[in-house]
Amino acid sequence: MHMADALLAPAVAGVMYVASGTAVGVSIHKLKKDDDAKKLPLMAVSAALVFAGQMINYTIPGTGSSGHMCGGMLLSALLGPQAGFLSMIVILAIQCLFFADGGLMALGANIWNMAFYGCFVGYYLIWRPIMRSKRFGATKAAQRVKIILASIIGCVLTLQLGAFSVVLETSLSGITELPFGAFVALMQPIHLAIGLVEGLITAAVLIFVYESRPELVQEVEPVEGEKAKGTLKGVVITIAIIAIVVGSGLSLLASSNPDGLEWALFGNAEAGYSENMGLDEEEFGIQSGVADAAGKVQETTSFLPDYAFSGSDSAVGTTVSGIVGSAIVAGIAVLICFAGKFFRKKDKKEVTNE
Amino acid sequence: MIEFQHVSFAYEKNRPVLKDLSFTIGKGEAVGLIGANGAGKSTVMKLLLGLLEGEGHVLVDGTEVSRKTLGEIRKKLGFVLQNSDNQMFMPTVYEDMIFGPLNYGLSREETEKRVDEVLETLGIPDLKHRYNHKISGGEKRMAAIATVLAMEPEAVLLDEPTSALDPYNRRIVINTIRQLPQTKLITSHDLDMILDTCERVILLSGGEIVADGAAEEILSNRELLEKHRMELPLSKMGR
Amino acid sequence: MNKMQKALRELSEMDALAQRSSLIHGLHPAAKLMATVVYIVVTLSFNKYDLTGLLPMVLWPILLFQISGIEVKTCFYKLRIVLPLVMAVGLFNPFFDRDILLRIGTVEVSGGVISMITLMLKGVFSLMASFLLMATTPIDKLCAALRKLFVPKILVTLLLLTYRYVGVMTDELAVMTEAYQLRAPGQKGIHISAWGSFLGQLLLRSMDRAQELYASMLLRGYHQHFHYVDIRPFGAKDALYLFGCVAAFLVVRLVNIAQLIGGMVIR
Repeated sequence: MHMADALLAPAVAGVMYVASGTAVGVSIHKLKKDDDAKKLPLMAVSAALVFAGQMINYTIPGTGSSGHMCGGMLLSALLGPQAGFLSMIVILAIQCLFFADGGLMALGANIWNMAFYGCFVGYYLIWRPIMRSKRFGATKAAQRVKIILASIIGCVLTLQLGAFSVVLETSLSGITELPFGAFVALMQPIHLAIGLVEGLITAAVLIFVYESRPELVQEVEPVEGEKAKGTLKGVVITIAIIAIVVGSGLSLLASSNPDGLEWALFGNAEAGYSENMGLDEEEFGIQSGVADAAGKVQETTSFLPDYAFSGSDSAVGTTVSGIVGSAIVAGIAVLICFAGKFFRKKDKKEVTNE
Repeated sequence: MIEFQHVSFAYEKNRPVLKDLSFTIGKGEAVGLIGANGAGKSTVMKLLLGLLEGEGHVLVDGTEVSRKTLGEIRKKLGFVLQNSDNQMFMPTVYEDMIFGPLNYGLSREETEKRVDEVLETLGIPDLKHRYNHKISGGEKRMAAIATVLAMEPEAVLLDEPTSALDPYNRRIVINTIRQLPQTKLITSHDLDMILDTCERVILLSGGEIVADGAAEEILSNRELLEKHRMELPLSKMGR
Repeated sequence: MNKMQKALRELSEMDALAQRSSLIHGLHPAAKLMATVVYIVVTLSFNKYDLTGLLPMVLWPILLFQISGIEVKTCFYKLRIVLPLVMAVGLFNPFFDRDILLRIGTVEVSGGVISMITLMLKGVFSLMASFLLMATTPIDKLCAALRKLFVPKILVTLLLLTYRYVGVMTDELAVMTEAYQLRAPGQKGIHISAWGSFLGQLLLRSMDRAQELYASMLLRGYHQHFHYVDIRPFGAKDALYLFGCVAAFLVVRLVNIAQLIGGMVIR
């Protein structure tokens, strides 16, 4: 879900920076007040762990494809929302700076879309209420059920919010001609699936941690003794939730009812997008469906006869000078490259002469 | 320099790790602390550094280790961790080296001077601006020792300083340790290294001191060592 | 090589680039950071149809590549992440925006195509800019600059620490992944039965590691205060660079250079 710089107008990027910056300020204030600065090494190691963990391929049974984890919910469940938020920011910053995943200007938006929702909304709206709920009883099995529930609902909800924000930010930036409704209908269902998988992975990891070291998970009461069983119940409830969420997602998709062209488009773009989500460069070469589609698009738009007469004569003059000018700019660029090479060679020669 | 007086410690009730431990290490002494896994070696180190609190008294230079004296105590002791990755938490060797001295209030210039001196003494000046995650295991261990020496401690504690090193790097580290003028306390299972670097050995077993004396003597006592799940160093095995 | 090993290699390549020396490497990191931000903001602010206006923006990164001696191709590997995403969004434009904006001979180009190309160029340009920043600035210096630019201390320190452990953790996971694959031939990823324990095991170990790390900080006198590399003060050279860049960007933004040159040539 990492947004690139190009998808944002400066104003939108700025607003998102301010929003995320405010959340950072509040978080730091809270951490300082609780004297949680000694959490720093823990935060750093956890952030590094999640950074690496995002690269794990999790095989989704029965599909042959693999899922990934983003980690906002996991970090806030382990470190608390504020510390988790800052850790996520650092992960996003490193991805943006060293791996060109995201962008310098888009960082504010990415923090908001992925870290803020995952850590704050996911924690205060989902994780804490569910973990504190007395409805499930106080057994170890109940704790497990609560962890599964909170992880899945949390991840699905926060990814939906994140995806919606991506649509909103891109649309507000005037980047895409895609109608808002169609864009939403494209993004939300994809992220429903991604959120479900992420929720299951998060639940699996948290349950493992809970079994071995319950004190590491936020808001759980460790239950002494008693060997855990209740997985069956947990799974049943999980499946029920999945059914409900998938059902509502499908109805959302159906209600938007895009026309045939859009459907065809979604087919291509969806594959590209979901692969991009997982940073799977092996499976995603430029030769993929998206690139092919790009070629086709250019063909159709350039040569379709319907549009042959819409250009105006007065525009031609400026068009020509624009093209000539662009060619000259390209020439200058090439020249700079040659000049650079020339000077470097000279440098090398001088060095060897000495 | 270092004194343990009737020190006991337990992580969990009724499962003591150390039982009524007493020993003294004089200034400039080099002592090897040996014992099987779980004998309590690391716990001794942690108590000394004030990372754990036990019963009894631990004194460094006559000052008791307590919450109040932690700063003073830790300034005098340099601890080289077994896992250098945990010791070196900054991106570059240089940044790791300035961390300690600056925290103890040294000026930038003095720190800079110290860093260069230490690197020079250890023969690793080229490591200064290298990235911690890009240097080899042997270099990392030397760099970790350098970060500790940059604080100019009066005593150096080393936890398994030769673990996971190849023979060449192991020899470099041993020679480095031998040259350190400070009081030294070394825990290790590498008994040949202990024999090379320490004149005195304390053997721990089940949280108690079962032997304390000249390294040469204890490390040649096959019966004693084997009784406590240890083995003669290779150099003493003969044929 | 698995994904983690690839990431590690990428990371160490960036480090190696940043450790080189050149005119650009020698500039104050804050000057470079600010120039980069202004460049990206200006690039993003071009109108979606203003292809000719945007084009001259390419000169700055190209100039920087040449002066710093960093090969342009090192940057293109990174495009694999940005480009598909930008394309996925930009691809729709030709379908929804079919007004003809440009005619070259008999070929007509619609507004959607122009805006798609502009979008892709924006993506490539801003990527090149931030790549150049990181390829000429080591992380420790960048962090010191961030402190000077009033980024909160806790965040900068966390960035430094995390950067350090990203290497360690990624390496551990790479080894774990290899070990897993050796015992599970033919599996593409982690089987569902190991979903929790695979990362969970490492997580537990990491928590102990964090504790040891904290101890190591305490032992060296840590009291909520971190020291950064001492970077030299902001000099005249840096100011000149920053203002030169900003001025150039603004000129390119306000005057359509390509149009201007082209106009002169044609007349």
